[in-house]
Amino acid sequence: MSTDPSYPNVVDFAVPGFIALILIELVWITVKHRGGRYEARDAVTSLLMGAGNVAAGLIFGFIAWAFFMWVWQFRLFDLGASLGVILLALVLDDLRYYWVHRFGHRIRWVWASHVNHHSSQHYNLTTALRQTWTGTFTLMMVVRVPLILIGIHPAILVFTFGLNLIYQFWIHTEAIGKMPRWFEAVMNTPSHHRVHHGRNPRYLDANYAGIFIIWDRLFGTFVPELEEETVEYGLVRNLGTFNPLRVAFHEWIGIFRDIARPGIGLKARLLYAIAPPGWSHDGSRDTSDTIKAKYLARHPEAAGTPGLEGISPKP
Amino acid sequence: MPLTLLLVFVVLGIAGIFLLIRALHPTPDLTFGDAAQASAIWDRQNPDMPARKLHIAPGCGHVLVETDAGPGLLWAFGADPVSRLFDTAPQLVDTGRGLTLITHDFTAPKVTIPLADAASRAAWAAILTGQEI
Repeated sequence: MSTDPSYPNVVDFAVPGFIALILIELVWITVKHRGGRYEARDAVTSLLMGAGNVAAGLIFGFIAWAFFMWVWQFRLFDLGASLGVILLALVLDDLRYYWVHRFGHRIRWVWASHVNHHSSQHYNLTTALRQTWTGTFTLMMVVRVPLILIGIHPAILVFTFGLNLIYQFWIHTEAIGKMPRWFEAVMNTPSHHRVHHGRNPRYLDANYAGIFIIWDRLFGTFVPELEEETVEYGLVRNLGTFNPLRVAFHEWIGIFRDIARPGIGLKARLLYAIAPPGWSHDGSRDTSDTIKAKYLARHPEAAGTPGLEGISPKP
Repeated sequence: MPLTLLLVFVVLGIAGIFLLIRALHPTPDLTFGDAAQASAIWDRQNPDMPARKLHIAPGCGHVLVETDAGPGLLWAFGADPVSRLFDTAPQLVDTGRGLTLITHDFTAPKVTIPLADAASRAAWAAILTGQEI
């Protein structure tokens, strides 16, 4: 009888480092007058979202854990807990993260949870901590099932995901320009992730990577940061509130209001939950696809440039 | 570490960072210095509905925007801009020193615009409620 592996919660250990780096970035920006922006209420909202994320994990974390352990009994193999398996788990779980993140931008039900991470118009290290309170309710835990079935213990996956989150902290900054070319080719970097947080039409729905940018390059979602187009951060329709409760729940409320609309059919109600964000039954709203198409109609010279390839202009 | 102690650390830590950023104030609050700047920001945020006419409130933090689809508001939200085109006229409260807009929008529920002059408040209210003469 084998015992379950046990690992420390590495994110908890990293918190003092997060705070130290935030302070260093803040002082750097203040002294150098470049490398990013800080707004007190925005930063506090991000930090409260981060604290709420930890609290939500304490309250709801057992649901995902119970599900993972239930799946574990049906595993096809047991790969053990060697260093090689941990490295394999790090890479495969990063691939899992890529797809969950992509679903998070293309399925409104999942976007309702993830949107808060994009709700700041700032891009600094506090933005990294602006995390969801409602991740459990997206049910995206099912995407881990294949990894558990091939024999990677859930404890290893939780451990490597902690490493993934720690990696992603430092890329939320404008203080770092571009890394060496070889690093930019393989790894997710501040430059790649700035694109991901952009609300510019060309930057929408791009660069979903966690640790390795190779997934975006492989699946056709990579868009480079262009010198000639500065990233504008935030949402297509930015929030006018710093209230963490409104930040955490606004899209869920939007979904439920849309689903409860009078005079629409069952299919439309379902699509309001699972279609891409911005879908509407009467076409009165814009999805990222229509935003790009309209942008191209206004800027035909941008056709075929990064982030706008294969899009047909639509007035 | 006991949970209550952890909670105290979190609250004090967040409050400390808030006070530090307020003290250092590395990023100035946004102001709308002129119509061209405000119009450019509005048009970037609302490319389907460009600004036709703009009215900048005293203090340069709020801009009433007239478009072909009706009135909208562009306002400074700390260091950043937020805009809303009003499909439904907002509820207006005259505070005597300005107008408070209750928007019925969960993501931007209330905006207060400093308008000390009663005539300005009346003019803004008329445009916002679509009763402009």
